[in-house]
Amino acid sequence: MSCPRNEEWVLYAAEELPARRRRALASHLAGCPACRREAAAVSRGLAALAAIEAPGLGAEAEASLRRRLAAAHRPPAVIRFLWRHRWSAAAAALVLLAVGAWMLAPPTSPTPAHPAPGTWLTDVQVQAELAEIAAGVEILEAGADGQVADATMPAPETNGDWLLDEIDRFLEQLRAEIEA
Amino acid sequence: MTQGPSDPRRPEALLTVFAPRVYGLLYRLVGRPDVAEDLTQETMLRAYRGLRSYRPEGKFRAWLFRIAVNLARDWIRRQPRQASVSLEEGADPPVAAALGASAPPDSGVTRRERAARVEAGLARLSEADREVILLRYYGELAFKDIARATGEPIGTVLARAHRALRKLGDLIPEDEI
Ligand SMILES: [Zn+2]
Repeated sequence: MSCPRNEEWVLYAAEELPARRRRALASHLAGCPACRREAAAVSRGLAALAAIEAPGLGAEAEASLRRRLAAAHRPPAVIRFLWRHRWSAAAAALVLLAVGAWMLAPPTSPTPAHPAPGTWLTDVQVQAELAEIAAGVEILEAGADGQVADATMPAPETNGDWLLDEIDRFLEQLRAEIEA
Repeated sequence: MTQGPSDPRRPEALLTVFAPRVYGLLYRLVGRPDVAEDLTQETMLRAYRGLRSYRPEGKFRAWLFRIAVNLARDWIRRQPRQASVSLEEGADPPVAAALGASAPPDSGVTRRERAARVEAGLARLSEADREVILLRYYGELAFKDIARATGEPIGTVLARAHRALRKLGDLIPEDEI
């Protein structure tokens, strides 16, 4: 084997060569003093890097960075707005879905098991969503009257927060979808 | 999708794992602690905002350090022309503070001397060669990822690395390794 290009000794010293190539270079080294010197010099260069002292980020800069990242970590303004106005937002979503369903749904529509990925809401999905929200509103109203018929739902008297949790979950999904 | 403590999508991971490294790289590239701090913040914020499009199987570090390198290049380009950017004369690097980036213990004059020699050698490298070396050191990037971070072909990166490593290697006597 003839001497490899000098640059290849960089990859050799950094252990970034595929195993087969690495073995070939290693056996070349055994018989070539010039390449041995070259490889050793590059290795010394890599070892020299370890001597660099890493300067640290100042405490003040770190605190400021932390604040700015925390601010960037807040949910987007639209989500915070929706959360503040979650009740009217839920009503608006219901109206939108109802209108959408009315516009999209033919009287007889087939029921695909899984909607094709990447397509917008199908009429079937819209109807399913609508039914889900309608059920939610029903529960909501029942909860407000203190008469929950469905035994699987916790009674509002025993846990007044469960509806809020439901809304939370709904908004969490919405957030995930918006962020996706 | 999991969000473990080292998941780069968590701001904490950006802070604890990457901020000190990005800062170190930027400090060495621009030579001024105040500018390096500003650019570190900008890098982290841009990275954070861009995280939605980041996929875990991608090369996160190469992507992150590319942001930092580009910011440093922009800053250097905006400066009045100088012979080269070098660390401020006599300026002490800020004391390594939090984020786990504590200064190495003072283990004697030899270590200090060697550090000074290597840092002087770094300052004498061309800007582009220094970039490659700093990405290797602070980013712990493989050379193919350094190529991604600098936007250069791998052959160019290796040529830069070779030239720079030979110069740095010459600063250290063979018996010191
Ligand atoms: Zn040879």
